[in-house]
Amino acid sequence: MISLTDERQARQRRMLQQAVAGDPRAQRHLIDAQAPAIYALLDRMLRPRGLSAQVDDVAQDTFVAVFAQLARFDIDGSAKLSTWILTIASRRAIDAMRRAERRSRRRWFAPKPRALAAPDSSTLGRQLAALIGELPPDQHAVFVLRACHEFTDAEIAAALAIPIGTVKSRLSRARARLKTALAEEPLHG
Amino acid sequence: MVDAGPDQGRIDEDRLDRAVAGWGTHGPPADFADRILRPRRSRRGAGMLAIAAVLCLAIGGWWWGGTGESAQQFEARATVRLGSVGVVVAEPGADLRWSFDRASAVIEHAEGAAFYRFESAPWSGRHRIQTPAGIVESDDGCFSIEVDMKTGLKGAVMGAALASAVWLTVHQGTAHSAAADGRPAAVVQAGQRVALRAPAVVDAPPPAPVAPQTNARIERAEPVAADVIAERNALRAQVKRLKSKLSDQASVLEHHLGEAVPFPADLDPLYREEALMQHFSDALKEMGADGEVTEIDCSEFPCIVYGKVRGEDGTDLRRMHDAEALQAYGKGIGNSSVWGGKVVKDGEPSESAVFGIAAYPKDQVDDEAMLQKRLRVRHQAYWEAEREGLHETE
Repeated sequence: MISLTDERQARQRRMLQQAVAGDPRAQRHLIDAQAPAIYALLDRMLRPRGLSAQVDDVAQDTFVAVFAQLARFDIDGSAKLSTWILTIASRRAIDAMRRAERRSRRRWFAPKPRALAAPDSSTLGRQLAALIGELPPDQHAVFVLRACHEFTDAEIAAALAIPIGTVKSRLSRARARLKTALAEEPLHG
Repeated sequence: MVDAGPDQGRIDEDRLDRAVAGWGTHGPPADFADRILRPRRSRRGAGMLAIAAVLCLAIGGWWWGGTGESAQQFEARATVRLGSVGVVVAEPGADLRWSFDRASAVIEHAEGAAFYRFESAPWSGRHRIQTPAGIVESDDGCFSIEVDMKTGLKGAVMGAALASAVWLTVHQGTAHSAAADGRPAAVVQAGQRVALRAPAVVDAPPPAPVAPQTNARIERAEPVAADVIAERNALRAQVKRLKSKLSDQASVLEHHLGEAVPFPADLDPLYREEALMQHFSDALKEMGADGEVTEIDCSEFPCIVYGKVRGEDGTDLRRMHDAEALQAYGKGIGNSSVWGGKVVKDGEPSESAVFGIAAYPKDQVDDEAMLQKRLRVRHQAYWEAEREGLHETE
């Protein structure tokens, strides 16, 4: 008897093979299925640092890279397709964050770009979006991958090419800083 | 002292979890898939188009949108742009009527306070502000005008007596005050504050006819203004001292940092951004490396190619020199600064390495020592920024 999981896996395999072969319908299906999560990730990583203008570009670059490397994705491996794509997106987002940091450090006295919170966030959500941009890029990324996209420590370690111990310490430091900052923030509205 | 016990910790955790749950994000645009599946326009092409569009708008705005007129009683502070000739910041209570064209602006300033700034341009003329106590004219510069309309005692009784006090403060440049009939009265310089006074104009039957007359005269600064002027002079002296100190330190810094080397006019396109991106990306592919070129820094000569390599490929970046894709550069790479390699943390190799490679034709360099100094400074700046991601500090 074929289970639903087997059937879904077989469908996904066919879809991936067609996407690798350049079938635009399969590629569109893959983009439509994965883009919301990619946008959510990039929005949470780039917008708080004043880089919302780069979300579109990084999302497009991510999918270009996904299609370039799709043939290498092992559907029978341990990584889920969504995790694999989010990993590619998170690496690109961190590169963009670091590039922005580097530029602002090189351009002395240059004002930091203004971080914008998403308009449909709750009050606490908006405060978090404003505070998280103050974290170092690596802590920011670890926190978003764990808290918002439910990556495991091992998946974060693989995504960011860092040891698991580092993931844990960064996550703990990020949470501590955010908790303190949220507790100090006055509640509005 | 507040004891932050376990309860407080739980509250903080809960608050953080609720913040994450309430953190909304934007979704992809409706045409996102189309953008990826359709061939992309190059960013440079899009940039040129954007620049052209902005230029068209700017020129069009100057030519067609350079006139206007309006009037307003302001309830809150507001900025009014007078086309390309200037800007007015009206304070709450200001009552203004204005018209302007590409050359000049005419404003009736009836009441309240406003700040004016006029731009100088070859085609611009003199700008005129009509106040109840006279006229203020200026070619360019910044100044403020405050109009204080007061109902006099007689007016309170008779309901019609008005007296006005108008203050002109010039912050930058000069302004000319003139009587209402156009006779010049004074040239007011930056830092001066003058009063333009009009005597009371009585509408009720006066004991003797008083012809409406406007006087504009420079008044002595009030006692409080003397303190302000003394403070301003002290601040100016301080600014002068700080500027001198800044200049000294800038000289030291310039010596340390060196001076940017200009690009040779006839530099081979092989050493420009586009070709460097192409050749170095090809070299990484040729090596089979899991990495990419992350930035081409062409802010000065020579361009530096920065990139990142993950995994074991980071151990031997120098073999990139042997890549077929880079043979076109010959010694243009062999003699330049190269750094990178595997970074070790706590005795364990980390899995990322960055590289920065400057590529330039040696025979086109006049000052090799300065170029090397600049390369060291630029690499150092890059490394300082990147090391955080490579050296773990836990």
